[in-house]
Amino acid sequence: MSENVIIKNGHFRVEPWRMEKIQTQELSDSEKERFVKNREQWLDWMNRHFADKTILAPDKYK
Amino acid sequence: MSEVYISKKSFYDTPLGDDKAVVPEMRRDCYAVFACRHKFCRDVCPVYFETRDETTGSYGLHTSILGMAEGHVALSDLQDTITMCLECGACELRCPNSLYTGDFYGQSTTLVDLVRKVRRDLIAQGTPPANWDAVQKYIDQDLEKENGPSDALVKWADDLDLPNAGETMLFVDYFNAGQTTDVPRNAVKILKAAGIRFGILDKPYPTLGELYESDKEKWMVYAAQNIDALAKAGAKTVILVNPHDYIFFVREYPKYFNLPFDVVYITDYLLSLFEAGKITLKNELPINATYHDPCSLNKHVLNWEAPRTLIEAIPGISYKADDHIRQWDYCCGNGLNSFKRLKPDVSYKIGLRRFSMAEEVGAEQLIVACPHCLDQFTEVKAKSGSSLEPVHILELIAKSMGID
Repeated sequence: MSENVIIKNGHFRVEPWRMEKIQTQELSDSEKERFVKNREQWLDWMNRHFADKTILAPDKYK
Repeated sequence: MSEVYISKKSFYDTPLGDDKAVVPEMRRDCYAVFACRHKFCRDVCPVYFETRDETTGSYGLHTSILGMAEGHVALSDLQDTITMCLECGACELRCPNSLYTGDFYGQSTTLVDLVRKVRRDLIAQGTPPANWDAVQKYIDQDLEKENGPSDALVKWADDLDLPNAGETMLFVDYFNAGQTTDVPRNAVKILKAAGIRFGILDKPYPTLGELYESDKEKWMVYAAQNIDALAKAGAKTVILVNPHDYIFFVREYPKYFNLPFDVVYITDYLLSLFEAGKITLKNELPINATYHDPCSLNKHVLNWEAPRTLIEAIPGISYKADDHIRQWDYCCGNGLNSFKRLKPDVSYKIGLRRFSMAEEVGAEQLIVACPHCLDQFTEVKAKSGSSLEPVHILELIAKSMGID
């Protein structure tokens, strides 16, 4: 797939014709910007809370 | 013009029904959610958290509609299931279809739109969601206000001497105008103290979300009347004091109309005034408080910074709050539109859980930026006997500015 990844409006995107089973939807640019902003906030949050520790399984699973 | 967040799937316009086939696009869309094994949408759904009912939420509803497409269930079988959504939008944010693959594969999960569509389709075929009578009664009461004397809709501003036109207009909805009048009144006092010249409509039209998910055509007529009235009043900037209306103005109205003005939420507007030095928060408020993000702002339009900045600027306040990402899991329990009337017991449980979270951080006051959250938390406080005091952010800002 990687050779068919394209960049549109600054974001990586798979060419719609490659999407055979689940077709690409029509998304506005503002909606895509919302996804990106949302994802960055989520990953920042994950890093702030979990990047410096290893989460172990509860005792009952050890 | 205003920043807009639009999600619109044209196949949602095709009605579902007991005797209607599910269109292939809808089936494919539902299959995309069904085939996802993450189920992150459940992890953040406040309704699932309380009920542990697997038919709720994004995964449950999409799977049910896929079941309709496969002939296992009919639309009328969803009368109960469809009541179990707050429309808070948490699942949409957390869904990998949107969060990770949205801009890459061009996929988005739009459950809130889907819930509204299914409720409309159920009503249209004469099998409304369970307990819909309570919602219809509320809608009828609101529409009676529209048919009644327009003075009643602006009575909250009788003594405030506001013009009915201007480049900046404050739009006050029926809920604020009738039930939580302190919210718009505080907004007016703060804006006046900051030297802002603005007006209000002499007759606003309904913006009721319950109407949007039952009779979209009628809701759109009122939407057009609101836009027309604001444009005729000369509005270049419209300030909203109800975040439920705010997301209608920035996410729903632009789907159908061109808005000839900017739309801004009151906390964003006040922050810009604060940063420009037009608002001075001088009085100390020695309170121990936490902040509750309204779903409509935090989840639907990712707007969470302005209220926090304003609260932190109030002198003397002891402020402890979960960050906005953690609050994706929360809701006050009111929901965006009809949930509280459809499921009052679950609504109360969700509100109670939010109260207990605020109490865990040692807060004595729970600050909100939404009149519906204020209404819901006031009810939860009364029912539970909690000592936690819900308070609207505008009330605190007015107090800190020294406004009576």
